Amino acid sequence: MSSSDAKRAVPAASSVVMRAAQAVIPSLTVVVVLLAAWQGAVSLFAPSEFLVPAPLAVVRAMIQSRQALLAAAWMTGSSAVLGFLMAAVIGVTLGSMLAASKFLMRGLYPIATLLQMVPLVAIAPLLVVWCGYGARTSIASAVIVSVFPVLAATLDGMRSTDLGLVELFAVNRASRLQRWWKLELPWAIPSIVTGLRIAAGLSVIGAIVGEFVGAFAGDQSPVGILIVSAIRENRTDLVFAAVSVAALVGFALFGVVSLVGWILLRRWHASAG
Amino acid sequence: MLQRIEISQVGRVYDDGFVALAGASFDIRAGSMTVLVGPSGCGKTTLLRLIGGLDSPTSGRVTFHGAVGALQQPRTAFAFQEARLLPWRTVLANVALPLELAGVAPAERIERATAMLTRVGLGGATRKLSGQLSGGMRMRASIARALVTAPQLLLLDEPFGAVDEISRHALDDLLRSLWAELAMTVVMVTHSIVEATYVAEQVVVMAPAPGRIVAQFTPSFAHHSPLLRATPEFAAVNAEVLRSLGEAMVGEQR
Repeated sequence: MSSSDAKRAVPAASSVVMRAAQAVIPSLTVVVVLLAAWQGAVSLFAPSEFLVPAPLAVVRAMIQSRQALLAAAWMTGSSAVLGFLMAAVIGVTLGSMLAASKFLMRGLYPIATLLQMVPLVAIAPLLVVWCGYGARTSIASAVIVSVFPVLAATLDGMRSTDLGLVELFAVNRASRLQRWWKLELPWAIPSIVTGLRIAAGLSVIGAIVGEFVGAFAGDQSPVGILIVSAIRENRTDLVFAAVSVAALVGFALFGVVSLVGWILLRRWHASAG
Repeated sequence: MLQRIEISQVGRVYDDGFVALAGASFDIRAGSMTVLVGPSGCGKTTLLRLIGGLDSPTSGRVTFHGAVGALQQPRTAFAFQEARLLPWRTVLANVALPLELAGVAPAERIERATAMLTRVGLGGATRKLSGQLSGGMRMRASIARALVTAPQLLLLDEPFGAVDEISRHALDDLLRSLWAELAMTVVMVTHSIVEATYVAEQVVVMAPAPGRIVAQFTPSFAHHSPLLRATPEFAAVNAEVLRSLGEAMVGEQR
């Protein structure tokens, strides 16, 4: 930290609310304007509702199918959250191991990068073979797609640990474990939070891709199945509604991760300012 | 037990052939305050690291002598030019860090760290984060962290180089009073001849290319107070140190 932020204090709750409002209002305005333009264009050009439903039709579908959508959000959200949490643990653990060992980093990091390049949709059918039909495939898919950003962020964060602080720990004869727990991990938190934010959104995408290939329709269906069913029934409005629900689930997860990151960093890191 | 430190023909040549230090020899009396002074690249920090065991000499040796004979490296603490405080920890937790790493019980480390913070004038800032401190306060915290383990040997690498001159004078006074109060040997590196003359019992003047010792002084003043810096007696010693360094640098250019 530089001396310029020497007087930086913990922000008051009211100023936090004010800053949050300032951050949200511009994007909310853009969304409202886009929705109004969309509604206006549909009213003006009157395309088939099968091609492009009006926003109001989507809202209507949301209200009519609210129970199915809520159940879908819960199922997909659960898979995404579980996949995200597993990816967080695996990513931070592997990232820490790779940061600690040059041998492991040279051996494993290129392979991890290569695996990241393999399209998820191409290996999703394999997940059904390995995990069977049901939530396990969705969770595995969410883990696969979201683990790499956490791993890479952890690795970068730990490798950027201030060398002066590393020397401080060395002169105080800190053990390797002490250095990891008391220095490298806290130092990497801003970077890890960034990786987790990216992973939060990806985990929902991964869960839905897993549902496309590995879930089945029942009394309650996840978002992926709801989308496939709605397309078969020519219910484009319901597809839009399901996609909106999936986006909201991803946004909520992103928000929770951002909030946790802010709580962890607000007192000492500029990124939470 | 404090130890005399004997530096015998110590040299350090890096892998690329750069001679950072050549043939340095001098003794550091147990419980003394020694200051290494000289321009950048004269091997001051290299010598400090060799004394502290952070690096090994390529020639010569550093030995620690007790009352009977050669001993192992004494309990050593470092303070660096930057305070190196962990930004997510409070000042108290930063100062307690060396005790925490050594496995000291929480209650004891809090008690010792609080006492040391009070001693360096930061008793009211224990719960602050490093980002909420001024440069001078950070250095006080850094000194407190170095002293909290009750070291036998304190090594300071330009600890006050980044603070303003007035704060630096106050920190020099603090350092001298801590040294007088706590039983320890202090070796400090500085660029400032004024600081070296004011703080030290023994001033070791160094010059670059290659890094070497060119003179040694033992300033002795009848009354050591902050006003000493404004006396002709102090200016005379200062000039003597400056002259020895100047002669070494001019000789090198010829």
